Amino acid sequence: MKKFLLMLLALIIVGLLAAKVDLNTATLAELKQLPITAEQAKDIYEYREFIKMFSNIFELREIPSIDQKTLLALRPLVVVSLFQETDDVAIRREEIRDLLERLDSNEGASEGMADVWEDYLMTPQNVNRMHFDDLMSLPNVSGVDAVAVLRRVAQGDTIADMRDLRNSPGLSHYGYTNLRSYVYYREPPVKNRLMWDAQLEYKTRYFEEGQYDMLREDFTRDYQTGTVPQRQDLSYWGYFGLDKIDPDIMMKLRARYGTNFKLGIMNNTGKGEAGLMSQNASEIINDSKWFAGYENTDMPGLDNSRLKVYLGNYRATYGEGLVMENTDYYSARKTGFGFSKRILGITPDLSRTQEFALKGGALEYTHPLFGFSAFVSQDDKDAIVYINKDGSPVKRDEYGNDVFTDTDPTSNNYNQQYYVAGDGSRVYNYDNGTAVSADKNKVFSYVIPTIRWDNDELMEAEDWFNKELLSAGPYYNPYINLATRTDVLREKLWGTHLQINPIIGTKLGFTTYTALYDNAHIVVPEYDEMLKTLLRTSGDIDKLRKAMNSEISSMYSTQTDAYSRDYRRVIGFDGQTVIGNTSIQGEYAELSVTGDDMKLGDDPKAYLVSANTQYDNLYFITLFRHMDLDFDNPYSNSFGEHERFDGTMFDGNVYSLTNSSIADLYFNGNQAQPERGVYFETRYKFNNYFTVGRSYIDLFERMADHRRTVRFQSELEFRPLYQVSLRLRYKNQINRFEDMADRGTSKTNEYTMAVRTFLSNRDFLELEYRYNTVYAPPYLSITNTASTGNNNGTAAQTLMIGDYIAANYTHNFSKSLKLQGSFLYWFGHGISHWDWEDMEIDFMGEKGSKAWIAITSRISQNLYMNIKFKNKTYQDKEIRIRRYNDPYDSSLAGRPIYLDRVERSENTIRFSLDYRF
Amino acid sequence: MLSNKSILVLTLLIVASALSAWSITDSYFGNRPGSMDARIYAMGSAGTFNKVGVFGIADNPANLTLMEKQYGLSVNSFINRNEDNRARPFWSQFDYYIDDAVYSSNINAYNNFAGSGFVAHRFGAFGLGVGLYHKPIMNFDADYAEDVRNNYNTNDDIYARQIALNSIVGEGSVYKSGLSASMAYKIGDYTDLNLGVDYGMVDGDVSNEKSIRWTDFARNAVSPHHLPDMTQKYDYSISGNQMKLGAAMQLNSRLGVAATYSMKSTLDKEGNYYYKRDAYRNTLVDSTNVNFKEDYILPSEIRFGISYTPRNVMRTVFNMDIEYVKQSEIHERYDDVVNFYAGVEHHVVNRIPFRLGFQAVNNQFIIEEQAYDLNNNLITVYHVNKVLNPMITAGSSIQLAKKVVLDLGFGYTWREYDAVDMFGDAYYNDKVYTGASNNSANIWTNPQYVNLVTRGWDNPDKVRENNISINAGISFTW
Repeated sequence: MKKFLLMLLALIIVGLLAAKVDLNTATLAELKQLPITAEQAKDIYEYREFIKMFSNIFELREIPSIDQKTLLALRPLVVVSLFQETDDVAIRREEIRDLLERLDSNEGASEGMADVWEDYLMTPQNVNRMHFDDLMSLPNVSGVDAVAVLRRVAQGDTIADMRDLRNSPGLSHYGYTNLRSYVYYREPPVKNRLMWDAQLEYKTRYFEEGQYDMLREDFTRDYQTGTVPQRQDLSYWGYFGLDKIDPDIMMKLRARYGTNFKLGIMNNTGKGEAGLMSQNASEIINDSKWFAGYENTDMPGLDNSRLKVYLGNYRATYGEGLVMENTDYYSARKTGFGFSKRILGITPDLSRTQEFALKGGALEYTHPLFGFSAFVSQDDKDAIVYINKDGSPVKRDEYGNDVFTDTDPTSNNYNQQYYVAGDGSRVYNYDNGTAVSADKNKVFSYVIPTIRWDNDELMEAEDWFNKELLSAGPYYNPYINLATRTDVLREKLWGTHLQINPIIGTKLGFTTYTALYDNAHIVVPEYDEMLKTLLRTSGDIDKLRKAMNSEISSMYSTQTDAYSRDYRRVIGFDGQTVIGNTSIQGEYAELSVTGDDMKLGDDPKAYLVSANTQYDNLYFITLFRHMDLDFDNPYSNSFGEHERFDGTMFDGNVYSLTNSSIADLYFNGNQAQPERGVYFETRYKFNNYFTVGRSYIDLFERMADHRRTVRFQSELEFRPLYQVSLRLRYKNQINRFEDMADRGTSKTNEYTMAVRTFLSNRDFLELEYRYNTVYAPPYLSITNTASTGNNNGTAAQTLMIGDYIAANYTHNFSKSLKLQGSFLYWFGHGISHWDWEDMEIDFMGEKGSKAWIAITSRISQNLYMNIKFKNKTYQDKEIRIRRYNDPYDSSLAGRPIYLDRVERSENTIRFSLDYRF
Repeated sequence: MLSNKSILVLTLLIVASALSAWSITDSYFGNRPGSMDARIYAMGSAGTFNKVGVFGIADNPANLTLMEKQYGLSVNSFINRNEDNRARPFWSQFDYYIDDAVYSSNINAYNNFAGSGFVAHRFGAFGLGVGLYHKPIMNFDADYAEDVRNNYNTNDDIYARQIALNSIVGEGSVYKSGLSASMAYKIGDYTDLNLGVDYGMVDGDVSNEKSIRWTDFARNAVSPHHLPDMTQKYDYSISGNQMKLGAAMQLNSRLGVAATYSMKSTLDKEGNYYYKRDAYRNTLVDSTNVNFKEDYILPSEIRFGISYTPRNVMRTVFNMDIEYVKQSEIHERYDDVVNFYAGVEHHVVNRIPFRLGFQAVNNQFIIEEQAYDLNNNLITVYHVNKVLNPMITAGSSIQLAKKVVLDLGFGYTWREYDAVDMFGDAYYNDKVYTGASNNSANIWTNPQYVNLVTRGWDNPDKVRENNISINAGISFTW
């Protein structure tokens, strides 16, 4: 009987509950059955649909139309069931949300890599089955950490969960915190299913100072004999009308099924380039990047072996990036540790890298004990080519002879080139219709153009400039002889990487690639000839006969007096071992030139060895690198203080070149400059109050001119309270030029103090002040009146002083709406300042002020919108360093070349939409 | 009957006048305000799907029956502050160019008013709605002044002498008075289809005066009656009508989609053109006074929009529109353009909304120049300048009473482009008027350094404009 009564009671309760309306599941029609108005029912429904699910009935009072009386009336009629998210993707997305947002904000520094890491976050790897390189490819995970994990697994242990992982002997605290979200333990958090990401970015920007000057440089006739015309159409800038806002638009779409099948496509239209609206389908496909891939982490056959197969665009990265790490983007001091990680092996590539993108097929098979990968690529590359007066590429025969080898100084066609045909007649280079017995383009170098103009448009522009140049006096090079052409260098590339991992934490690898140039000879003249080829006037040749320009003449040629071929081949070895808490790694690479491919030491070489020792609160990185001057491997992306061609005439003497756009080799360079040196870095957290932040010293020598440099930076953070942090940073750099007569020694000091207060809700306010001094021998053009004959140095050592003050603020209205803003004022006086904005770096010269505001709105769980607006108002250079000491320029006599101090005001905007998973 | 010379001059001046409207450069459209719904304006004017704002009926007639309320009235004011800076970059002077230093800067503010109202009723699954609105679609207000000065006194660090004053004054707006109707079919609680049609009468009077006035200093420097003033005046009206079709569909509680199609409209542009250049030395006064009538085309537009309402602790609406404007209907040299609009609304605290938006709208200006071909025949050369206007917007609203809301939308836009000098330098060459020799100009202190020729596209002005706009609307809905 008692049982019966209990059951009856239970049934009554269930019945009563069943009769009640569940606020979290009721339809609108059911809500309308309640004793409330239709409008109130709708408000309840929309609160649940558009704001949040109910966790208790008292939340009804958050709806304006529900007053206390209505709540009391509803109370006996409604219930709130427990709502729990069941979609595993939604749950996972919330777990890793902070990391995803952090990766997005670092996208600028790790172009394209964030996609890979985001995928790993969403669909992590099984920590018990990961290989050494898998662990090494994750952000902030060191070799020592990787070995700690692998040793546990090798001993037959299974890492069961996050806490268990933390207890792995030898795994550092930082290693654990960085690793834990990228791996799973027993069951993957997300089932295999279709997931997709889409991104739209719309950005207006201004060109950087060097690129701006390069594009504005005009092709003016010799001012000794002609009238200087006031015409803007004699520069690329004016000809192509770049005085207007023209956005970069990037669209990206990725889809994948679990971790097995992946697809992606990305199209990027840069400032000044033809957009989607003016391209046909084949052009759009050609300019887009795409991939299709298959990955299997559990291949049949050998236990725990993995396969990756990719078609389309992919990245290949091995060792220390000396042989192969294909990207268009150079980043300074890329140690391969911490935040400058490499993702090893083959990965899909939807980065904006265009020139050194690999397009073809790639296969990678890895096992804990060995690995193998092979990749092939065929892509047409942009290049600087030698051109004739009519803009067509100079053609060469298969033996390396220019077809147009002679110049006719006597004919009416002054300086016209020709070659002698088989019947003895002259074939002039304007005779395009005449059969030409050569089909090789004479190429100077690969190039990443600032703007990828169409070849026909470029030829029309250069033809226009040539009319001006040819109409006047005797320039050494009276017409444009080198120019950028898009998709002109046909490159067929194949490469392989073999690796053995004999014991945990130790590996040895061999990497090689060969790039075959079917349709081109790459020709870089010897030093003197190079100057004559690149400089417009003979007067500049002696002026620019400087040691650092040997970096240009040392570029790789396929055709020299010593050899003739149609490829570039790089071969290298890499290795890594972990001993105790120290990981040692290195790579040796050779560019095949005159030596035997398989013999070490007889060709231009580069090598790098580094060691990373870590303790809980302390690490050391010691790195030694050496790169021969003539080790010219465009697919390398190794450690270096500066990019290639820094300080050469591509950097400071753009106006002297036969074609200013050649300077793109420097402005968009992706390789490190050849240098030799030792780098040491550390960070130590004493306790909760004191931390020595990332501090380093780098002693190196630039190979081109043997300039020696010491660069030192250290940072101390003092945090007396959790909410307040005081940071002091000091940077010192001393450059000593070998040629004292030229520049002597320069010393730079930079002092920074920043106070940051951590407010509630992750808000913060920061004030920063920076003070710089530069002692340097005078640039005569700065210290003297820049006029004819007045180029005697009077100052022994000049001092430049600059400073900078900034306020940064971040406010989180809620977890879905964040506002970041910054205001800063700087005074440079020849010193360049830099500033890290929300996700990009900005350089500022002279003096000015800048304010930016960025709003990140998380519209829904999947959709993010970001709008950033920036105004930068600054004074441009007071003096343009130009032909100040040209004795022939009578028009400048007695008139100093001081520019009026001009103000520039730049507005930029970035709008992006991201849809995730 | 006009002489050939007069026709040529008239053509040139009409072409020149193409550079003189609001924002001086865009004579065709003047200033086109975005959505008149202040809420939508703050969301980047992305309002093809809009079920809240009364003025949404003007963006898409199908919004009428989409509205959450049955009745609505709204009055709006639109204020625009335009800053126009013109620089004269000197090229090929090696180091001597002024670069971005501005030689003429004008700041002006203009305003317009608008009103709208609607009634929408449901009859079971069906609904019907009717609305009326009156709103500006183009504003031609302009006030541009530019000094012409010589370099006299510049070494003494005081202002140089003023030679002449150039000015352009424009007035007038073109309004659209529209009647819209819509019908709805309700499929479910959050699923319905709305179809609407809009018929609007377009009407507006516009005047534009461009003048060059010599100063007393210049007049006194040369013989009497040697420097001719110039006046060019353009009075016209634009009238006609325009049709728009719209559809809006609520797919579910989260997503709405909408589209509009504005048909190409050929309006009448009718008015008077007056030109006068005073007599000088042996040259008679040159004047023209003609009436004209021509077609004025409003191009067809197709616009698609989505509205997404996610679940978010701050109630959120995200709107995005894409618009295709067939500008090639105006002129064959124009490209058709695609414009983009996006915005979000978050209710941050206490139901106070924070709205944020972005839009990228393309304009095109055509400049016609007379030139000679290889056979020495007079030909017309067209130069089309496609100019992008990125804009950021923000706004909020205040509940004034239970059914009365004040919406505020702010916008900031800027654009940069090349433009031909609006007042060619050759006009200020006093040697032409006095018949003096090459080196004896009287009003230029160092004539050997002053090359008074009209520079055209060899060295155009660099123009930087920015606009700060406020759209304020009070709406009453019930």
